[in-house]
Amino acid sequence: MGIVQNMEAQFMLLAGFIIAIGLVITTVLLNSIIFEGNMAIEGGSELSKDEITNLLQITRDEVKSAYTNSTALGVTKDNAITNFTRQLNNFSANLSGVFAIHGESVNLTWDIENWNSSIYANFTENGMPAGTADWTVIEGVRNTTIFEFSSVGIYDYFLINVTNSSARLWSMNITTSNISIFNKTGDNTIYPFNSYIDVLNSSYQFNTNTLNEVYNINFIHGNNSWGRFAIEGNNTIYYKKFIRKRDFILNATPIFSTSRLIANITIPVSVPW
Amino acid sequence: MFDEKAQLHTLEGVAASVILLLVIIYAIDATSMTPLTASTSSTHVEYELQTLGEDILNTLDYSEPGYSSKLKNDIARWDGKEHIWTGSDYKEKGGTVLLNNNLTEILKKTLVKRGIAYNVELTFLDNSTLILDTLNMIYNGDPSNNAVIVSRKIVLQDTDMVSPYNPIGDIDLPTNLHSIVDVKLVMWRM
Repeated sequence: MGIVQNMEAQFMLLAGFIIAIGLVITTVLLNSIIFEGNMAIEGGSELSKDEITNLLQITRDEVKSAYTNSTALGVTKDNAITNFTRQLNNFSANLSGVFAIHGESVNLTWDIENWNSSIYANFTENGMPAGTADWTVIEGVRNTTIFEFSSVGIYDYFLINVTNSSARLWSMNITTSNISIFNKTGDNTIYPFNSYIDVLNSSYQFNTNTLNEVYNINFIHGNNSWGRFAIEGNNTIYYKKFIRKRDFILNATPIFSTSRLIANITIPVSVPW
Repeated sequence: MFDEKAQLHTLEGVAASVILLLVIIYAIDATSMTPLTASTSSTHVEYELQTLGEDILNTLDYSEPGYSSKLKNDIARWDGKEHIWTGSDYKEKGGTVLLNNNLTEILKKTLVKRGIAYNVELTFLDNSTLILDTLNMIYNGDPSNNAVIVSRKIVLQDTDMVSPYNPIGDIDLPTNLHSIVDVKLVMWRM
């Protein structure tokens, strides 16, 4: 039996083959189009996580610096606020210029209501009423040169606990009516409440109980108390000096925008440090 | 003239060429760069460089309350000169003065040891024109096409500035704000 010559069958086979290849190509193209279409808009030109962190950090640093510079000794509150506002205005204007190189616009707004109305920070870790109430302010202290509280307000009680690696060395329990000191041996002395407290005052026995010790300073129940505090001294690490100081919590809001999106983040800033 | 054979041959030719084209595309795709391909242009290497650079700047930009970061101190104390890595030191271009600061210390321990080339550029607003100006603090050559840039912005106060030769001018005379500087670390594989 000879070979059947049928050109129509060959045509059909070839046409089927070409249609199959065409389908594969169409599917691949469609897949590419869908993938590209779902890519984040301007994903490449948005601020990265690192850039946003950096923006928040320089904002925080600048608010702290402006507050410290403007509240130099002998300056009235009104003048201090004027100087603070002027410095932050100039910072905000120049910040836009630096970010413009990336095609982004950055502005800064701030809220100094707490400062204006003398609403002091809580003695919590972040200074907010809902912040961590029991926390360690500084570890590994060799000696303390400044330890002051001012404009103190108490709802029920606030405790300052000084401990070394094994035991409590000294503590001060402040209530609405009195200040109670517990020394290393457990003896208790009571003084009347005062909104200004110099912890290093010899009657509070802080230095005598912490002499030659390496200790931690802890704040307990800081959520129901508020005011200013300043602690300075020397740390065991490289004998470095440390500063912990807080008056108010100010809010700063960096706003960044590109051609397609605007975003803002409000951060509480503890001032001066 | 009606010739079914010629039509058939044409169609066969088209089909064969499409198959050849697909084979070539598939072959190119199969042998292109993967994250593990030993190549200086792979995305994986660039990502590693970026992470390394960000870690370097993060480490240098940390500061305790009341203190300036090491990075800020280095920029504030810079004398405005461009320095080149000689293999052992960072020497002033056309001079003999060496640059020794926190930045050079960490660069020696990280990028130099790994054979990564880098430049350190500072971009800041010119205090008279308020146009951005860029100067090199460390220059080791022109970066390759696949160079990675990481940057960190720092704010300088008048009280931070200690070098009279520092080219970063005061952009805000009435207040303590001195300038905003974008520190760029450009890295590439050689």
